[in-house]
Amino acid sequence: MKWLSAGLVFVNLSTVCGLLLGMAGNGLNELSAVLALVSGGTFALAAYLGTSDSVTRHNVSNSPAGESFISPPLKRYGHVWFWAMAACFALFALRSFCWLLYIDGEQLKIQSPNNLGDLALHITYIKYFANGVSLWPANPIYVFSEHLRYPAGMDLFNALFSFIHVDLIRGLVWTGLLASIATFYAFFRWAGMFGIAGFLFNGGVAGFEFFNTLKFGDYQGGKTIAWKSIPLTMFVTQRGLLYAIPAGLLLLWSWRERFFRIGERNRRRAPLPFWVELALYASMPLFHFHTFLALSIVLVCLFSLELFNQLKLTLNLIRREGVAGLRSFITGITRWGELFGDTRIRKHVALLLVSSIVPATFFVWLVTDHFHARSVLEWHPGWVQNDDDFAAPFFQFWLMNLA
Amino acid sequence: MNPQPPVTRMRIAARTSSGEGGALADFPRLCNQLDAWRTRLAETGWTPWLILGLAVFLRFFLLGIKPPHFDEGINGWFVDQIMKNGFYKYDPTNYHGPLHFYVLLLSQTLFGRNVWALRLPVVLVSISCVWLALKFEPFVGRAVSRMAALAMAVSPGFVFYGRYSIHEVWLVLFSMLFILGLLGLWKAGTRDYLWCAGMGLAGMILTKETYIIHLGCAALAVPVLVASNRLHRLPDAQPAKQTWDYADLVLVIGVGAVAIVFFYSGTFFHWSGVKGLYQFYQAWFATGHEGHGHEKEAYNLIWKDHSWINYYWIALIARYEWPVLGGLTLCLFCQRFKNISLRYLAIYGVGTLIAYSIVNYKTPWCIISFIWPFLFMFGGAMLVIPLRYRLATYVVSAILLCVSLGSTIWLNYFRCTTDTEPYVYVQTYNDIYKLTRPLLELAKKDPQNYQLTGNMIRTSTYPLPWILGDFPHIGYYEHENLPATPDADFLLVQEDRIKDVEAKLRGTYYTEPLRIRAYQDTSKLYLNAKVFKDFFPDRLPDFRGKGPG
Repeated sequence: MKWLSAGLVFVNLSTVCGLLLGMAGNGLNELSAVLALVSGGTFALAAYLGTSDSVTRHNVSNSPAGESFISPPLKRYGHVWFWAMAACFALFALRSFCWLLYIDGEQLKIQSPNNLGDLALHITYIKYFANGVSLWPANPIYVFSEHLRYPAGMDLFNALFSFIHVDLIRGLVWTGLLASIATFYAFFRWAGMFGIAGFLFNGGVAGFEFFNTLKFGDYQGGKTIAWKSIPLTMFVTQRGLLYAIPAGLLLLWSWRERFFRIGERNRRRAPLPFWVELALYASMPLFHFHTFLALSIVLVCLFSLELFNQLKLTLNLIRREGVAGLRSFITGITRWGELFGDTRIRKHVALLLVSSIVPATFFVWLVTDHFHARSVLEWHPGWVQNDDDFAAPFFQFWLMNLA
Repeated sequence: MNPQPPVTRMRIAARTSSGEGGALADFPRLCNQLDAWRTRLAETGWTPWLILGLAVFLRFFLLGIKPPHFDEGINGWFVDQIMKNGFYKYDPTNYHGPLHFYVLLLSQTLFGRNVWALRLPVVLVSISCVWLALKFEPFVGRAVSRMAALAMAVSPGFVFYGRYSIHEVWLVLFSMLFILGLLGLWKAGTRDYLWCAGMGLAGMILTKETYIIHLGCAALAVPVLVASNRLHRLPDAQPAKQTWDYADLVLVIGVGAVAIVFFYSGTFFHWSGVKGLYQFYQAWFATGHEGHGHEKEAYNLIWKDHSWINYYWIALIARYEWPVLGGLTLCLFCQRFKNISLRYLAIYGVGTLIAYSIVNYKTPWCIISFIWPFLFMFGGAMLVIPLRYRLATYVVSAILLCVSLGSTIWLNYFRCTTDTEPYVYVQTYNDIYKLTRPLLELAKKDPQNYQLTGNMIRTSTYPLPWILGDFPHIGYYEHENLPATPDADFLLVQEDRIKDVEAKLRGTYYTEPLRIRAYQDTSKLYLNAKVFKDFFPDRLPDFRGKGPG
């Protein structure tokens, strides 16, 4: 987790520094890009040193002498599933990102049909930032737009590398492959092999068509199936997710360790330093707005969790001691600790939310055209079951799009 | 009295612990890691790191000094095809196993289309071979394995071909891994060595069809070793108790089989490639028998048309690989080795040398595939040479290694394209820079120059199709073919076609003689005066075309 934390902080704070330097200097240039990357690197080093990972090391000294001891195959090869998952993830990542964009004669080719529109737009953004446009810029492809309404953090990050003469295709491939490794590891640490498989194999029932044809193909590519593979249609195409998925999982992991797993005596050594959590969470709108919303909901739930516990304790108190007990509780300040003694989740969450208000609001303001982009959120019950292409009776639609 | 609810507000004191901060539950800190490395280094010493450092330096230093070899150009072109088609189409009658191409694809994708990226994977594999030689320590002894690794690190052949993007280095790695696995199974019997043997074999199959020679020799070496043991008993001939079981075997075979099918089937997009696993025999036996222009008949002994007594390899070893020659000589005293691993390596090494001598198809880079066991024999010199000659043995070994190092430096950094060196074989001459340097410089200055047109009017232009792969307007015309309009921004014309082409040219050109490599006539290079004038500031164009009529 130390490497993951360092890598994500590098991406995060290089981009944020690049943005701030670009805004201050009326656009990025080679010097500001180098400064941003160096700052990101420095913060990454600090994050590496500050992150604490409570992976339990096995005490090998008590194990039987290795040579003569044979453990049962199931135990011995328990990690075979890990390697199977790693191989599948590697196949996905290499196939998706090595052929992300390539030159064939006079043509620039994109492997994934899902990516035809997206990647072209991302390249436009990268080139736009790399041309030194003043930040935050107008939309390069929509003439009536005041400001770019897109969380283009990852494109800004790649633009920094364009300034130091890293080839665009190489930059995209490296980013994709490193993000894949980060995502794989983050899923593994968050939810084990099941988490990785859940992410990788969520293509839905349409994929079972393979057993009918025995041919590798995109069985969800047609416009009759609404449910698409998340890795193929979102992870590869929405470049913000390359950062947002591992960063979100790192935060979730950190909160789980901090609030539910670390023992009393280890609380001083938090998994992620507070500033890393703050940087990752507060700047998330710059990379992926929906992940920011999801994380915010998690924080609110964590905050409420303690409130709920306190409500339960209050009810127990009333049930046990009656109204008299409640009165004595209210008047006796010394007893308040029974209810409010352990509020560490709330304290931490409140501190994080309060500290994030200014930076997160700034980033949301930035990517929503100064809060003018109202279409970011919309209540849409039934998802796309009534859309022309995918319309189907309720049960048929949800069975077909089961994943 | 009812049981009291647990008191949540009271802080329960932590139990006493000897470990600061909970030693077991914490991720190892940087200082702990440093301590662990220090301890490990103290156990192994600096010697292996020095050997590896030398290997790294000799292989990486001036890696791009020589232009891409003919075969490297073809390998690079195959990688470009994988990029276009999405998979490698294995053709058993034409070329080698798929693994090398996929690794090159990854390297080129990560580092770009350049000679460094093309050679990097093989350089790393070559360094891994030196590291693997050190891993023979439990079976041949520390001194022997280190001497072998050092000899490999400074060997002219291992360095020279370790800086080429060709398949042979992979074959060395995997055959070493395979043999290490076999020795490990015999001496230790653990499942780690089963994995070594299994993955070594799978890797060899994925690399080159000649794996069959190594497999056959490894198998034949066993009865010979048994016979040798009957003649002269070895103290350590008894096999160790095997601690792996059928689950291990099934998994090793499964992983190997999946890897082989995955790569040969073109990552599941070209299933007929799997048939190549058996179809290659016919084609490669024919190639091996006929030689296809790579016979070395001048080295045939006694009967000039009976090539099975051919000393080409011995001549190469004598020219460049003196430690190997020493090791080969010691194979004559194989019976004096009291170590079963060394005796097996000697038999296996001689067997593969004989096999490669019988095969008519002889390209010098194959030498590294079969000389590595002799490096262990060289390292084992002090085991068979009587104790009273110990000092002399050390001195001679040191001299041989120094000669080897000197030869490596001379060959790799001073004469790497000199075709009088037997190791320099079908090597592209620096002459090609007359075309590639100005052209690539123009493209670097302005990417629009990638659109320049070129006509290659000659046969066998590799590695140019790979080097100039980013220029989409280059036509390649072999035999009697000619472009409709021969004029272009640059032309390369075969000697016997110059007259025809010049009669049709209308433009003005700077011209240069250009020879791509040995065994080929000199071509004439035409660089359009308008486009390339900045490269020839004090020179007038040499050729003004008049065109037909």
